Amino acid sequence: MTAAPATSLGGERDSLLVVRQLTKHFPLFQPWLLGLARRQVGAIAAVEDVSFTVTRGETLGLVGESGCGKTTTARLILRALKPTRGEILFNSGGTVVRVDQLEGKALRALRRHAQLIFQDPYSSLNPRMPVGEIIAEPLRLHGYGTPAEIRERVKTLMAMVGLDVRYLSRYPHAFSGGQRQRIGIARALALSPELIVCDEPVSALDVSAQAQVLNLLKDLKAELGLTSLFISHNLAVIDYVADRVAVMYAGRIVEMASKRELFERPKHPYTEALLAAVLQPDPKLRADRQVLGNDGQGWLPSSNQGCPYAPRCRYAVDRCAVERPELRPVGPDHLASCHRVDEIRLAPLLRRQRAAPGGRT
Amino acid sequence: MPEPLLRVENLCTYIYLDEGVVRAVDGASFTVQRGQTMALVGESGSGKSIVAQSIMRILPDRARIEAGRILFSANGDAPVDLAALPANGKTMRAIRGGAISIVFQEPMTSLSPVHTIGDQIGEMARLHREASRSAARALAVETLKAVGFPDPDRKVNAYPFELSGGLRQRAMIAMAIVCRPALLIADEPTSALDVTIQAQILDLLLKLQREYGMGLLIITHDPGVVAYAADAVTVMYLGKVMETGPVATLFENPQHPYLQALLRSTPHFGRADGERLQTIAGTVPDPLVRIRGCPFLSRCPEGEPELCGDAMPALRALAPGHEVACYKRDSVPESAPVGARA
Repeated sequence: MTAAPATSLGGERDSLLVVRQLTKHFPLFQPWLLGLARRQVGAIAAVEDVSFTVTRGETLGLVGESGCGKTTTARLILRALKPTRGEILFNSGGTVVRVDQLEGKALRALRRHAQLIFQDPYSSLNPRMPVGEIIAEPLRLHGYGTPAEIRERVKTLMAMVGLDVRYLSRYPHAFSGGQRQRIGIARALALSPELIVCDEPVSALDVSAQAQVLNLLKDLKAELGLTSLFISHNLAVIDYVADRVAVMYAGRIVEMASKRELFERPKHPYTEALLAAVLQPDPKLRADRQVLGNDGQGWLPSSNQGCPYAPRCRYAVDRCAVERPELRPVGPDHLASCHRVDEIRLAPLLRRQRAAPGGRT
Repeated sequence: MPEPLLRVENLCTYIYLDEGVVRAVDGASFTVQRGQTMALVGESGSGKSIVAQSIMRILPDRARIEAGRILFSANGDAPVDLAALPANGKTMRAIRGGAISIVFQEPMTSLSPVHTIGDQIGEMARLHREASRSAARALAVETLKAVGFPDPDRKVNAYPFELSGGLRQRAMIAMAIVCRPALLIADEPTSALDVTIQAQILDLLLKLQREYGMGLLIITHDPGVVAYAADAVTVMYLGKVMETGPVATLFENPQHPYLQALLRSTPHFGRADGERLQTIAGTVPDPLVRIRGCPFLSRCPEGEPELCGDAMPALRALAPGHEVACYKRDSVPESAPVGARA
């Protein structure tokens, strides 16, 4: 990898990934000259001024509803998309790389160190490739070693993710959703990347397969010291895997804190609404649950001045419509962007003091 | 005892594929009482959606009801066996969309993209109530108001693509309730929606159910939806009913090993750091292979091949309304706070 001019990573903890003011605008076109040409009539701000740091060995959870920009953020970090603005710094073995400026060969080299696990285990595996080939492909592309070494590595990887090595020459259709997701994980881990981006890795799976894959990811994190960015809309899943959580809304991070702090002391009204909306598998919580007036209109990423959440916010005041709140410290390692942080008291996640559901264990 | 709203008895619906026969629903029985919310829970392949399609008689061409009865009584009169009616006969056409209607998972693909939502809602009233064009439109506006549509007078002219996912699902619900059905089936009504919208849609379904006194059959894979919305639960696995009972009982004191494992593997809050999710070993067996005994045997921590491998255990009542199909639960465990035994 080419080393960028000495850009510091801020010095603090051992940061693997630093993202600063990351922005992505998708141009919006309209037909022009009787449809013979098109012209740009505007842009959709999918990601706007997103900044965060991922420390080595930690899992940062990224939550938000569809369209909030979480997947775009992931794709920008892996440079499947080119950012409109902003910096992405990746600390690979002591060398800091400006990922946002990489091109060609250097960009391909980055892929060895940062990999993606996809949501849909059906469309992300080539149906015409046997499993052994799927897992070996990244190894071959990056010149891992001799064919014999690659074969050995594939077997190690399959054992690592709990796949039977005898299934090496089977095709993806012969596997269940959970097993396919293991294949995707083995492929992502093939080159021992330093960063794994997981984009809703269990959303397409049944509850029982979900638990197996979540446990696997947790074990791998402990064994290999993996650093990951974990995208999910399911807060219970985030609670299980993440150390810190960033909440996105309309392309921006509106709150970021350790997961315990976020669940127990939310500081942004949108976080409160998300926590209140969680349907927990416990009928006893039903009576205590309070539905928050969140009109379900969706947001319009249009107004460029006020707080993007203001149209849906039950605490909004006049100021919120005209002045955008900054993301600022509101507690220990806790950032939130809300004008009324000090005035409003938000409800934490509902909890009941008792053991796990599921009866006798 | 008054006639329940819906009684499904030993329903068998098979799907005939080139590769063989899938016994998608294989002897399922459960009851929905008037005004009750019953959740039909299961993982993919459990046959829960095929049950809904069997009740509505909208099965795909390759699927057929092979046995069993679906007894439906809209007003408490003598029940009609929906399974015995011709699927496109006059009676079934009147019931479908009239006394029983359904809300699907994906509002974008189940609404017509070329008709306004007002036309689609009004069409139901015109078909089933023989309402005039203007009466149907007025009814559409009124129903949109009932499902919490902002600005219903104008939105009645909107096309589905102009609406957000949550509003589309509200339009879908309006279509389903415009004829005031006695039974509303909701097949994964919130799975395609964002978290904040999910709770709102469930709240809406529950509110309408109370107002209209409907029976509600929610089909879902999500234990969170069940815990939040259901009065009673029926748990399915590979086409068979494993356990059925009141929601509090099934969550607090689940009896079937499958349900116990399913609840323990569901991510939930408040677990200790480092605590792992418990998993269900193995995977769901190939649906094309017929299993004579209990379908959960291959993954069951308590299963014994000699005991469970020969025939499917029958549903046995542990308490009134709480039934379980498991040979290992023939006697009530001492820890179970169960009053009576059948």
